[in-house]
Amino acid sequence: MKLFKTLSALSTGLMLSLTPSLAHADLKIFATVPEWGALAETLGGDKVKVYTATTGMQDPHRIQARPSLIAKARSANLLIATGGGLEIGWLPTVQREANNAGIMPNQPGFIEVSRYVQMLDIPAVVDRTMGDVHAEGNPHIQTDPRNLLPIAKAISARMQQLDPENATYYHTQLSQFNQSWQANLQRWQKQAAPIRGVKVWYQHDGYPYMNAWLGLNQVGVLEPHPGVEPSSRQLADILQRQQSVQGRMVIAPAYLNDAPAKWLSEKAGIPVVVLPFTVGGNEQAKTLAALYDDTMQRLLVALK
Amino acid sequence: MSCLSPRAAIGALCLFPAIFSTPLHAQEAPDVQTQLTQIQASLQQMRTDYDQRIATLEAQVSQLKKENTQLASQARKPVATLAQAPSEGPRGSIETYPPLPGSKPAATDSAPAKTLSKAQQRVAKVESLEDKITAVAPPPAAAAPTPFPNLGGNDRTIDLGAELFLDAKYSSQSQNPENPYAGVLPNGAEGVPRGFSIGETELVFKGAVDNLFRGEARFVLEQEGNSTSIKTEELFAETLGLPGGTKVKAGKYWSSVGYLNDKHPHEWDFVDLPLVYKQVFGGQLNETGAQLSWIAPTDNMLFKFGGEIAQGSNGYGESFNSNYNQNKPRLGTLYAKTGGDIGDSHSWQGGLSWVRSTTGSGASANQATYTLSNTNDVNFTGGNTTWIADFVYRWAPFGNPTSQNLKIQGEMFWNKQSGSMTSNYNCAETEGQCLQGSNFAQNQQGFYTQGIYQFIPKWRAGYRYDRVFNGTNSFGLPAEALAGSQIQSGWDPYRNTIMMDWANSEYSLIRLQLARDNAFGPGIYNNAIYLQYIMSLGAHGSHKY
Repeated sequence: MKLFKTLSALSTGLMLSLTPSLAHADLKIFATVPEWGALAETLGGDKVKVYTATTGMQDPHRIQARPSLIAKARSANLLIATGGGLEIGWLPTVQREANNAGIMPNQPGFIEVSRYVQMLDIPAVVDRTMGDVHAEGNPHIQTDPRNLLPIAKAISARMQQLDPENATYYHTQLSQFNQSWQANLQRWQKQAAPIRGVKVWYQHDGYPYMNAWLGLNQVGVLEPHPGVEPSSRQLADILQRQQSVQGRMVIAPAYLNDAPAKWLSEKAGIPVVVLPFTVGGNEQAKTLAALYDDTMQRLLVALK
Repeated sequence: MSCLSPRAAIGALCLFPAIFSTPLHAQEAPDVQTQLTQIQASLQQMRTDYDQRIATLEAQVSQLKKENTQLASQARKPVATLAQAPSEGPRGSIETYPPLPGSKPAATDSAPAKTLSKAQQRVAKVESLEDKITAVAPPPAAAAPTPFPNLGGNDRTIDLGAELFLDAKYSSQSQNPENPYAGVLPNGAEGVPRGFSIGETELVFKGAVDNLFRGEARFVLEQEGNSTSIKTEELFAETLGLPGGTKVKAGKYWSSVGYLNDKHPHEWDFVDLPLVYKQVFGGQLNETGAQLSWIAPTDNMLFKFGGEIAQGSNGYGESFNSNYNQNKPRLGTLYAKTGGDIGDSHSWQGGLSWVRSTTGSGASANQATYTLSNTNDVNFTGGNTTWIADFVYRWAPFGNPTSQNLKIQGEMFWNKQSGSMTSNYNCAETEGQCLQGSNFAQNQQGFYTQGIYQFIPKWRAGYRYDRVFNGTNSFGLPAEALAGSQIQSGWDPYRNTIMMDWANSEYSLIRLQLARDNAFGPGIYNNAIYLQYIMSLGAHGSHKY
């Protein structure tokens, strides 16, 4: 058929003209969120080329499956996602539209890192009246730096599997990361002593892992349901509760409009702490270690 | 974490120096050795730490358990004495029952109750301590991977995602939407009926078939007069594992040409389609056939190319002669899409598409029929070609569309039909096709452009302007044959539409739309108001750009 001929001629021509650009490639990594992008860069060094689909100022729940994401996913060798439902609103479309067999679920080129840590806040029952609740548990696992150890190991294993020529290199990088991270963890552990047991309010229920890490005492959440802004009446109720629970600060992630947190801060006379939430969430949090350093500093400053 | 899984640590770290003992790697060996010793040391330390903590907690647990058993036995004593009192009869088996109300040793009643509650507290304490012990344990290794890709639902064993979209409307219009549009050929898509009606209620099943294929089926419940009918909207399988950025899809599906063409009604920004879609495709181009698509391995910008072959019908829409039960597919499309980002806040996509279908000729010709009036038809043999240019631009501050975002889109269509015609116009009833000619030619164009702005969370407002151009036509018919028919030369209807919608969540939306058009003919204005809701149940949707 004429149409067939035109079609195949067209596509063959285009493939031939573009194939050479494939040859020089390093391991191309597509990370959905900045923390895994930064981790992949640490673990892969100069053997990988990392693309991060979102910035620290974006809500990873709500991303549009933009053409650029599909173009990046098309050539990616490894797709690193948080999983646990975090990217469910856009990642399946990107995977399906990208025509890349290697990054489909259950392929070596696709890793959901939340499978490698203990998930918290797994609801016994979940339905839509509860808002954006994830059946798999709370997906914001990066707020506890201890989670990065098993995740780094899992990501490095995939790198070694996909790029066996550089396996030794990846392994060395992993060992170095583990060493430095253990040192970081010990340092933070010491720094965190004054924070332990401090009562805090959260604007978004995104920090159960940080609570577990720092021993913060979560007294409540401003959002009535995850992802739903509180009304003025709900905020008034929270101010009422603050009288008795006496939270010491109110914490908001950088990507959200922190107006509700500011309101409570003013009325209750407690500081509002805007945490970076991920790498690139603010000026200071430029690297993984800086993310937790900055988080720690902001909490300590608020306590003074 | 290597300390927590000794297998990996020992396996990898120990084996490497052993295997690579060549001079080349000799330098690395001491490094690895020191690391190994360090890791082993910290492993040992952690082990001791854990052992100590677990030992302490276990000691506490056993201590509390002991106390608890003592307390529990104390608590049971009065019951036991109660049971002993009536030494004969069936009451002997009462032992485990709580004290009966009004039973003799009333004085002792309150004391054991207290100890009981104290005992319960102790039990709770023991249990919480036991919880602590499990919490101390290291996180489990990777969960077992699911056997098949999961693209549809949450059920990880069957992978069949189901979605149900509910769509209902109220509309008030100054013209009867069942009347045919003027200046628009063909005219396949129905308007929204007046009053209350249900729109397209869509039931979707989708999921991975196995590691190589994915399937999707969409059934639509549509109101037709006072009854409803079920239609198959889409039913296709597509590949998941083809190399080189290619994909094949086959079945019945919405063609990927244009921008709005493959968007389902629940994804539309307005209640209805632009006029030009009704004009050229009689709705949306939905065909039974096969599609091949390919994405170029570029770095930042998307370049996607595709083509489709479908059974087809010349007038595209369902109201025309279909090519059913014919060996030769008669519709083909080609499309190219490109797009990218400009900074974090802006993204865009543009496309160019081509659609061609023919009626064939000779014995296997499959004529398309257009209605002139109640009794007169014009039959067309020839080809039908459409070009579409589409463009979408989106803005979201820092790429975060949650609170504010803007979407501007537009599409332009060029449609050309040329061939020969026959008609029963002015024939005596028995004579059939008395008018024949070889000069059927029609050139129509149309476009729409729209902008949707989300100004605060949940609230969006939008405006659309659309227009179709009847163009230059020659049908081989005298002018009076066309009077009052759809094919009135020189009539280019337009429409202005505004809408506002409120989405409580990703799953619900309520929309108000006002429109004014003159699509029914010169000077005949249709003022319309629509109120619509769209609700979605089931698997979490993942939307296209």
